[in-house]
Amino acid sequence: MDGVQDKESTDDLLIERARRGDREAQAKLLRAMQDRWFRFAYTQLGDEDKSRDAVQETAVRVLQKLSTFDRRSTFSTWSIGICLNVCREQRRRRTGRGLEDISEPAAASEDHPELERQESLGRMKSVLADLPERQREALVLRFFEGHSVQETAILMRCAAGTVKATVHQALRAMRERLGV
Amino acid sequence: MSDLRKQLREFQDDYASLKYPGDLAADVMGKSQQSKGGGWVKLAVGIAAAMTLAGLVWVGLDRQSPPEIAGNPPEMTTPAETLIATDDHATVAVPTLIAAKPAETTTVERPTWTSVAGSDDDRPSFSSIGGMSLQYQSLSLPTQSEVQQIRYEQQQQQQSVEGTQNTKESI
Repeated sequence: MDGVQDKESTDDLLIERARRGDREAQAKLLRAMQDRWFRFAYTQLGDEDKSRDAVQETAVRVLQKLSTFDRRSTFSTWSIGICLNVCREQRRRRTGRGLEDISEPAAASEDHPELERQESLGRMKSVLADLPERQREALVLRFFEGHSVQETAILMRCAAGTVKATVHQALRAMRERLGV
Repeated sequence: MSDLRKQLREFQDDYASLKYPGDLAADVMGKSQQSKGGGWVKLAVGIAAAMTLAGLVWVGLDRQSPPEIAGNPPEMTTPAETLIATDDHATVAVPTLIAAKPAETTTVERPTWTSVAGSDDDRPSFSSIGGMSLQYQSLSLPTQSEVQQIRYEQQQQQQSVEGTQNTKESI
């Protein structure tokens, strides 16, 4: 517990230094968040280059808006919200919907469990990409990013009940499409 | 539902293995530093260009001004003196030019320029240095103050001569 508190105070100190324009602190903050932003952007955009662009845009906006961070949520949640907005803007600019760009893995064989696993993941990505935008966002934020219903509601700018309903619809759609 | 959870968990592991390819801080903050550095480079290039332009203008103006005459400048010569005998058998030194023609004016012609063909330096040069040297010799006249001083000395001399004559007559 003490370790968690120490980490939080260290993060607060880092954020405070970054807010004051300390470039070293800003760099540390970006490095701490880069993989998380990239993972989220990749599930929303489905392309490595586009996700990379989105992450860089997110980083620029986070540094610009750092002075407006009011600590009502964690820094991680607040910055994922910015990443979500960047991904939405990128999706509007292009016709694709996301994960459909990811190449399908080779056909599985019962003798090769790794290939079977890859096929399963490929199907999962494909189904996730076919989900409506809001359902995909809710599912990724809840299940893959580990945000609470309340945090997901803040990020998606909707009520907590709407989040629960959207996640339920997403899981049902996936079950139907995966046939499980 | 359990199969879906299993597949979701597998996908979660796959999801967690995704990493940003590279260093985000270097990608983002490096760009802004580079643009700041670019600003300094632009400023330095601008200053260098301005200095070069100023240099070219200065060289252009320098070529339009009259060139200096090659060789040593003409020396100011002391006018030659002529001894003039006075009535009391004394001699007075008077500049020769004044003694001969005290109020003669001398005209000085401006030299004409000709460019030397085949020369890298297109500055004009004198076509006849000898003529110029003669004209410069004629320029070595006494100054106005020197002439006045000489005239004053002559008057003094004349007064002293007249004074001597008066003394002789009175005797």
